[in-house]
Amino acid sequence: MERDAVDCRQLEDRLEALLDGALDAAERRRCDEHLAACAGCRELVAPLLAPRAAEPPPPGLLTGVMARTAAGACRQARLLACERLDGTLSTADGQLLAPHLERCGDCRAVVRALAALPADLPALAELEPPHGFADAVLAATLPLAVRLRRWWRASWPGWVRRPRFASEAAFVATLVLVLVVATPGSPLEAVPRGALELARTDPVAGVEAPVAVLEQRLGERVRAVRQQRLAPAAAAVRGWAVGAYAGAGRLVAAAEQRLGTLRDGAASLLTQAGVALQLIEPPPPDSEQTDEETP
Amino acid sequence: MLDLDTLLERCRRGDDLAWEALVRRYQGRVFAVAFHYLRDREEARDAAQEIFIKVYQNLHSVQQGQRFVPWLLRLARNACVDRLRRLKVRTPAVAVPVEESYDLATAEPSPEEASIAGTRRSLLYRAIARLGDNSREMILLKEIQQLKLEEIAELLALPLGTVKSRSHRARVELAEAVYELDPSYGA
Repeated sequence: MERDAVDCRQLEDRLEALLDGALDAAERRRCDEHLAACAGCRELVAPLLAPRAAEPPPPGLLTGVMARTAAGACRQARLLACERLDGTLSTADGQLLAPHLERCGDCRAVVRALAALPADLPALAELEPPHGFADAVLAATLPLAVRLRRWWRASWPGWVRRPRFASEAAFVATLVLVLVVATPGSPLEAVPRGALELARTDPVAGVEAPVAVLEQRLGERVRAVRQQRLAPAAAAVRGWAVGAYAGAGRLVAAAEQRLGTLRDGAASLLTQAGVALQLIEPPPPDSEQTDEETP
Repeated sequence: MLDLDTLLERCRRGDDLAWEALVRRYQGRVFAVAFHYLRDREEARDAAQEIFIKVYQNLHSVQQGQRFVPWLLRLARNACVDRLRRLKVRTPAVAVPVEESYDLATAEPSPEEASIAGTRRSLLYRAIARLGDNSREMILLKEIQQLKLEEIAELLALPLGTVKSRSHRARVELAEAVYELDPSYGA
């Protein structure tokens, strides 16, 4: 079923499509019917529906309008150009940027400069420092011992080669000796006085006492070493001698016991032998005379 | 040439020769940073010495490898800012006499290249001198010293988005300044 003709509000909604010729036939017919019936809409639309002359916009129009309405367009375009150079520009922003750059010569020049800067700016990263800068830094940072060592290595050959080095060294050595020995509170302060006292007394007497002390200390030391080293050996010998003595005693006792046994055996044998002789041989006849003559 | 990790490790062990090599390798960069902030040759030299002394005293906390340069630049930047505060002087917006007394610490160019490079360098310094403090600092850290946005955000204690927008604005301002000084630049 065909819809009714459009009203004024519906015509305004379709106006852009109507002017662009984008309405279908039915919609176009309904709009035409409303225009035919509505004088107000017909008056509004009639100039727009007339054949449009292909005249370009006047020069400067866009620039004038933008200057009075949206002066930050160039700024925005240049910021977007940065993103395009960084590769982070979105498609939509790219579609807005391109036509702006086409019409804006200043922005094109600024974008050219933007594109050239990354090639030139890194060269400014380093500046040649003042002469001797590194040496000054090293002198301020290296430890004192290292600095002194370097200074000494660099300077001592020149010092030594100086003609007056020997006399200067002798003077310095003498000065140091005097300062060390003669300064109150020095550990070597008593050395000169001791040397003088030693020179004034009998040199031999002065030497004997220390020698006696040394002899005494040496003797004590020798005894201590001897006792320390010989004590274990003496204890071992003593133990061995005690053991040997006890063993010998046991051997003597055993021998005496054995000898007693042998003596008893021999006496027994002698007794038995006498008895046997008496049984075998009768007593001689003159034995009675002998017994008589004996008293 | 020793790699940075080895150099730093030897510096931490008290190798004086390694420390000397480290100073010679980065003196130009540190001096450039000090000069950008202080805009005075003597002040920059004194500040650069202070920076290296601080580096020497903090060698144990130096980050490994690629993190060293941001650490060094952060230390340099903070030292320069402190020095500026002490001096109670902000950098004057005048052209830097770079063409008078400073040379780039790079390989020697031919005379023609040196002339062109000197002209462009002078142009860039004059353009940079026109920028505000924030923009000039962003150009120094991002475009000249090539720090990453994350590193700059950490250095300046700013949100990453703020650093990114400031960086873009600074680039645009510098490009506009260069264009005003020399419309043919980049053509």
